[in-house]
Amino acid sequence: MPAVEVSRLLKGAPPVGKRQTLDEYRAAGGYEALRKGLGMTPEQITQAVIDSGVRGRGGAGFPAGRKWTFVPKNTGKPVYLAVNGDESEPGCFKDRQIMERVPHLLIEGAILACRAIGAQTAYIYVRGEYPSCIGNLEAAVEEARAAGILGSDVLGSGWRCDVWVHSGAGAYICGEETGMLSSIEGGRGYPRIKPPFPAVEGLWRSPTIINNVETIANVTLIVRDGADAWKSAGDADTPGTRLVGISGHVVRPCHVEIDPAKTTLRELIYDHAGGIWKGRKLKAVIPGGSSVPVLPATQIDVPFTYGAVKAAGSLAGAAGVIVMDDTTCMVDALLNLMEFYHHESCGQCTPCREGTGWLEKLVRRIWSGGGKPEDIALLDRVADTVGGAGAGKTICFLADSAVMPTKSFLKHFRADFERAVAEGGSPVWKARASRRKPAAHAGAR
Amino acid sequence: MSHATRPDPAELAKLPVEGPSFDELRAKLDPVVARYPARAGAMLPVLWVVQRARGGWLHPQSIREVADYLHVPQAHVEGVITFYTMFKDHPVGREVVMVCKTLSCRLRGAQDVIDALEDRYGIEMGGTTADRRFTIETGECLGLCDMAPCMLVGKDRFGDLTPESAVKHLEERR
Ligand SMILES: Cc1cc2nc3c(=O)[nH]c(=O)nc-3n(C[C@H](O)[C@H](O)[C@H](O)COP(=O)(O)O)c2cc1C
Ligand code: SF4
Ligand code: FES
Repeated sequence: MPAVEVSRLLKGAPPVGKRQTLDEYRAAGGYEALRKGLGMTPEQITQAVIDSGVRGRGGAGFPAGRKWTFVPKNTGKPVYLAVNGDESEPGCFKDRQIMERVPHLLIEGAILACRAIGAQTAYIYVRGEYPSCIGNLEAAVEEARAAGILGSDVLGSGWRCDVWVHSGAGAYICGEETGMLSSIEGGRGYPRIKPPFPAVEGLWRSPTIINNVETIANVTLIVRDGADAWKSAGDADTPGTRLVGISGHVVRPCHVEIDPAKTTLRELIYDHAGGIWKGRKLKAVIPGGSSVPVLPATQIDVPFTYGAVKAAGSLAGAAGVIVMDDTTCMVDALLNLMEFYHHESCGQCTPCREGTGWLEKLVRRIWSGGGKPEDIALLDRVADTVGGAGAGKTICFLADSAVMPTKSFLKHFRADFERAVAEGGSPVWKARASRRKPAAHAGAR
Repeated sequence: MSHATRPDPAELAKLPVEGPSFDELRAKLDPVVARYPARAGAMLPVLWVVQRARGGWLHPQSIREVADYLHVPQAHVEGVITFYTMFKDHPVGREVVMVCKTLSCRLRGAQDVIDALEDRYGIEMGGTTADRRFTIETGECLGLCDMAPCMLVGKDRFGDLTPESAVKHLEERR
């Protein structure tokens, strides 16, 4: 099958680095969905989102419409919407395309979502490392306010709605939904124990719905086109399009919007991203951002739907496809990820705070030539102690996110670890040690 | 969340506070506070405004003033600042350079870029150039994996870096 791009979310989007202005957005039919939504009841908007079957694009794939129904009615408290634009998952850069290039599509979706859940305030949480997204979103919010789209009288309806951009400041954990709430409230980004779930008790103990940027941008399209038309892309498992980022050892690292039912992981790598660089062969691919299990090269002939990628042994997650060629030392790749999770652990839970440190230390020992044969089994056991999908030993999923790569790297690429033990370290470490003082490895701090 | 070694707070307090007085900043801060149902919600945006206006870091006096302004204890403000890598509690160079060290960038040569910058400026990552023009640190996935290896310099991004081009981009900014 040839590479087929679909154009929905990014239809009419200016090139990377540019922003669609309010005038341009309106000329292309922008804010017509909002006008339509203002003529609908909140229940009708929610029903359209339920009917669309749209699943959260932040990673877990939870049905958005169903989540919205968890907001309790008549509590007398305000309701909030928090849009998750933290996008800190290694390998992911899809939400950046929306926030930077078509910010009004997101703002329109946020207003519609507020209308549906009974909120009048939305915060769009954008990671601090995305200055272009923050700037472009803020400019778009100003335009919308000046045009009477936001503020005390949304498009003359008499209904008030505010959308604010909230900039993070460098902490992966603020992408975890309750960590994000702590951050918006002005504290350290500490995740919170669930229940209570944020839909019941979120920002300032009020009902709060948290959705990913791409999820909310899709709400605009669902209201505009109706659920049936929206569902014409994708399949029953993964309706709608998906924005995917492809990076690593490919000829052309890129993002692409696809029909997930009609595009395989192989096509993403070989057609959209031009195949493996330098004429090499594929060794491994992480399909959904760094937290999901790695797949060997034999497992890529699957459509990019949640269900199919899961059946292949991984997760489509947040659609950050990281590709590794046949020269990659998987010990080095895993060490890089363990440095990341250890650094980003917020430290509240012992299995995570200590465990991610143990994982990093053990992998580093094998990487730098100090590994013993039994260390490989030890690494596997330590991973089980720290967590795993659904292990529930910690407040949030970060610990499990470190375990999934570890277990899968050992499962599929054990030979690399055995070689590093037998041959006195990872080839990457050996090449480096011969050139520089090993302590200068970036992960040393 | 760990930070590079922090200089002695007593020494930091002796440094002059750059930029506008806190009263001058209020005009900018009051509308931000109004966006949140509780004053403390404005913590991150307020710290951003103050850090940007006052030389790129949060002086002990700034921390005190923010605490007073938001009606929270000073220790709370310090706790927040030390949690987020982009808030600085000690002086930094005129611009902060974040070189991505995470997987997609490492796969395409981030380590060579890091080595080249360390060698060129005689510093380790996290350090400041002798002329105080740049503080150069590593960052985790900057969401620019399609231009790996990459770095962020202030608000500007640079991608497809080689050891040579990374140095060249910085030299051209001096
Ligand atoms: C450690 C961790 C980091 C996360 N980072 C993000 C993120 O950067 N962006 C995001 O949308 N969701 C992230 N999530 C998922 C959120 O917790 C949440 O499920 C999501 O924002 C809900 O939106 P959705 O249902 O529309 O996907 C993260 C989860 C965990 C456990
Ligand atoms: S699992 Fe880790 S990141 Fe999550 S709350 Fe516990 S210590 Fe923090
Ligand atoms: S890994 Fe470097 S930008 Fe994503």
